[in-house]
Amino acid sequence: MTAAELAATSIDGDAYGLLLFTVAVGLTLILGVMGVMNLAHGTLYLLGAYLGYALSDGTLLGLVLAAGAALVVGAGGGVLLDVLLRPVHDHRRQAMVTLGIAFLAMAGFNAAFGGSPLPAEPPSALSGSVDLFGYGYPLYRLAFIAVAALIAVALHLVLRHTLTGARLRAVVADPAMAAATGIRTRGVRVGALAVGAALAVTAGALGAPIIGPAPGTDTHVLTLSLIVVVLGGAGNIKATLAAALFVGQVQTVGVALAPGTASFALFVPVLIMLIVKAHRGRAVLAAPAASTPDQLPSPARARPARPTRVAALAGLLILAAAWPALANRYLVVLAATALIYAILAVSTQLLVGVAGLPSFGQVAYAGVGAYTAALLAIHGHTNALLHIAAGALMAAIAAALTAPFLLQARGTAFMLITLMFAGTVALLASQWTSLTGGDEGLQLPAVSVWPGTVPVTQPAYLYWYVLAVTTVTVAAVLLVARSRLALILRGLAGHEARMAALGHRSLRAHTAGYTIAGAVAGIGGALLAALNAYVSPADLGFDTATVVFLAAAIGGTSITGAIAGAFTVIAARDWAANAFGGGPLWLGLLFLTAVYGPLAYHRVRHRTRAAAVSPALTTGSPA
Amino acid sequence: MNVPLLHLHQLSRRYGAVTALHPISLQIPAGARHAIIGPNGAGKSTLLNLIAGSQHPSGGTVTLDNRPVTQLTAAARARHGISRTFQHPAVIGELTAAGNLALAARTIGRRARAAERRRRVQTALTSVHLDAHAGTPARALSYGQQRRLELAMALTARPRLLLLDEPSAGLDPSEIAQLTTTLRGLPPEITVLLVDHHLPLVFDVATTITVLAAGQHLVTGTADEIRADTRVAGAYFATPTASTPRTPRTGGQAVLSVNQLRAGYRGAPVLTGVDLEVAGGTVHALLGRNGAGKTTLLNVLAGLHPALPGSTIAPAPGQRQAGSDTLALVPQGRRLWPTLTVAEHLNLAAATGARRTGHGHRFTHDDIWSLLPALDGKQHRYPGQMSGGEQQMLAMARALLLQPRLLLLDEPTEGLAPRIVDHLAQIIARIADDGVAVLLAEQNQQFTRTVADRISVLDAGRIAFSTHDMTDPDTHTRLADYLGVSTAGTTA
Repeated sequence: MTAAELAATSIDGDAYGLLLFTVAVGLTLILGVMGVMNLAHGTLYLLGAYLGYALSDGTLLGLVLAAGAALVVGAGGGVLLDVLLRPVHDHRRQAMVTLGIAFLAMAGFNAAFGGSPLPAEPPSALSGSVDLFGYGYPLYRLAFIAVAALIAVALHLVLRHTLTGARLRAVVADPAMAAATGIRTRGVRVGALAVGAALAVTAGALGAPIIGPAPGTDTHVLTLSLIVVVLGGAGNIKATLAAALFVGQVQTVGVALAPGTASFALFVPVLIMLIVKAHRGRAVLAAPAASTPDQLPSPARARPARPTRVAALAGLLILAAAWPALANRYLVVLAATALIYAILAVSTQLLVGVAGLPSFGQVAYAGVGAYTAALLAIHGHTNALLHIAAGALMAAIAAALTAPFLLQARGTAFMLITLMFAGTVALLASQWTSLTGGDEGLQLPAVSVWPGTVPVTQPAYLYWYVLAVTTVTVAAVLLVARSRLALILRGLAGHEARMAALGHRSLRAHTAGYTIAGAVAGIGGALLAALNAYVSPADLGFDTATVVFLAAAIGGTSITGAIAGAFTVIAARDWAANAFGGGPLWLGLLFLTAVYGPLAYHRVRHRTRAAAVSPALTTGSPA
Repeated sequence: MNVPLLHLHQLSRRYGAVTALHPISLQIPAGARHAIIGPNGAGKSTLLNLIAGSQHPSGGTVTLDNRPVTQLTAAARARHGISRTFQHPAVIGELTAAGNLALAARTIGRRARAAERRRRVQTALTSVHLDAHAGTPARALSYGQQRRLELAMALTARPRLLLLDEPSAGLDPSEIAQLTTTLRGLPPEITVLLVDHHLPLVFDVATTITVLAAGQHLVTGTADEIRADTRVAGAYFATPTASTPRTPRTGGQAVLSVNQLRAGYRGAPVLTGVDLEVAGGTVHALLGRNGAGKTTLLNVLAGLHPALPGSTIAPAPGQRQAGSDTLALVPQGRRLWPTLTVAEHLNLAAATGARRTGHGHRFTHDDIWSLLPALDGKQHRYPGQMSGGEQQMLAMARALLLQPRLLLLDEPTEGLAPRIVDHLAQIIARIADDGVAVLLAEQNQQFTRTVADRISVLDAGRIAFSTHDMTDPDTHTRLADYLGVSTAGTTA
């Protein structure tokens, strides 16, 4: 690559970076400043890109029209976000609501625009190119750079040098005190959300010729924006700009220079930033606006008597064992898939429900297990039990090695970091073609359960194999959940300072729990490889990560609940979509139901009991 | 034998421009019963946190039993035998009482760990009378039970040094008596370092005492020496030198009247029936021990905390719309916005104040500069770049620009040096002279007697005593009775 080529690519990187900035600064407003977890931010961009595609007719007017429509639609989207998230105070459930919106939107986009990438052309007036360093450089990108730079300057001026900006910062710093000073905090929140969403949609409309409308654009843009927000820190326009430009350069110049590793290189500064902030004792992101701690649902429900539980368990096991005799081939494979997702959900629950660490990242360790099994099989080792053992071991090693970095974060930051980590590992899997076969994936021969026996190819036998491994794994996890380690993890989730004062070293206990959870996920990955006789990055990407997270969330904080959650999730994603059509629609509805269902239930119950009990007092500490 | 268990050398802590703790050196011998006392904001909790390792010092060293521990984390120090309780009971709410204690019972060695741990948990439960609640989630325990559970956790960890941060806060007299018995019964192997406001408890438990004031080490001595030391009384009463008590005024119309006000937290009553009236142009001071409900009362009046049904507040917090609101709060700890400059604090308040009717005299920016000259020329500073006194001035300026008819001040002298306190008294008097009614919650008696036209004592959730006669010797006696600081000497 010559210096001139490099320079031209680097201008491309600036355009890319400024596009990211426009999206990410919206996310900074929503997430970093207002503390609202918006995982539908990439979807807002994609919405804008489709708007741009639909409204642009090759004229400048068409582009202006598209941008205007995007502003209005985006602001409306922000208001809608505020309304939807008003009763949902913690980041975990906010993430689920916005993921539900993202899946619903995906179903809508698929229905309206089909499932393939669409070409978005710049208006003809800006479609020419100018000569830069001897290369014809697209005029539209230069124009975009100018517009985005203007937005950056305007935002900085408003936020730093106007009373409106001061109001926003006051609400962020201490909402109660801001309200006591006569600031309308609700209005500020709605305004910030509207502006943030409008920025994302407008960026989509203007940026369509750069990052075009296609399925997957939403998660791609979301992941990169999250990286920019974490690197830039909350509410700092200048730092967000610098971070966006950095990511833009890595994504263009970096990819041109080192195609295999550039994307992974993005994750390293994120980890460094995390550790630096953790050691300076700073929060990575703002707390939720309502400043309520992440409220996990309480499992305090009346449990049925022991004989009843034993009978129910026995009945379920008999049904599970007899399933291949009762159901058709499709449903048998589906049940096997659900069992594997149950393992992943249980692994996640060990972190979320027990240790209070909301993780999206277990899919990454499942990937380690899956590729370990696939590579063993391809090299002639088809013994399934070896796959399980090796998959668990490699995943455990990967978890133990990454734990000290990831576990610097807590709460929301942990959630985002693990989400990015899962995305990065999937990216690595698709780019490290020599090992993983890239996006083509790896085909593997059928496994045999015992050395020397025939390979298992019948779905029923595969199913029984998966069922047996799942039963043993879940039993082991249930034992772990009753161990002293689990007690310490629960203690750390409840009050970390108290645990430190009792002499418990958090990193040690967290790493131990994280390693066990990683091993469990690795087992799930090895099973998935055996079941599908195929491994690809697509099976272990963003969507799978969110689906597993949902399964655990449906289960509340309980391990067995997570298993039920996994079956529900697979029923919605695979069975309902197959039976009724609509693709991700059912999954989206399930995400929303998982949040609003319990909310509505509690509201109704509270209302019926309100008459008997004196008005509830707000929680707080005595002065 | 006389090697100190704990040795602090020039230990200090700063936050930005604010020095929470000036360099302090202390030696605590093994087996000591040592207390640290001083007014709010004196740096007591900071000192405890520096010893426990939950905060790191800006300078100085901590040595435990000849072993430097300054660089160690809180967990590592706990493993060296430092155990503590927190100001707000730190129990793990999701776990049962037994589960909490099981976490405290760390065992060394492998054999019979589970059995040994169960035995220790059982012993601890019995010792704090929580046997019946072994399976109750800690968050479902009463406040007093949580305090007892936390103390049991700290003791189950088998400490050599036990740090107690305000163990009596929020406890009723019988619970305090029980706590005193527990602490006096601790074995001599445990060295106790106690921070508490409740001086009878301190004098019952401690044999040696250190007094801090505004982050400075005032004096260390035996309980008797401290009792006799006039400087200690001075620290608590912060005797202003320049100003003399104002001539009490009866003031104008009542700006606020409160009848049978009740409020609480999670069902635990804090205020059980408060009657109060504040007249325009006067300073009404609320005195009361820590946990008496002063802050709760102010927060209810400011609309930050709900009152229980049956309470009457006129004007009612619910009716105060943004445009007609007549009240401004200067909260405890000031609650400035760290990301806003001084000018932005004032402009935001002025924008709201411009929409309000006010009380006649309207405060302008120029009024602020002349009333609070410390702020002049610092318009572009952030709160973190200002001293504690300047921060207090800024919090007051922000409140005044809201054009209140009633100004609520929550512990404005907290953490301030006596000289600043003196200045503050003059400012409050001038604000009242401008016609603003001031309701002041304070611990500092002498300061209060200097500025107030009326003093009311909050005790057991209601106004126990109210007077406008500051010179009556009877007033002194009754205040001393209610506030429980008589043992620290009298100013007479």
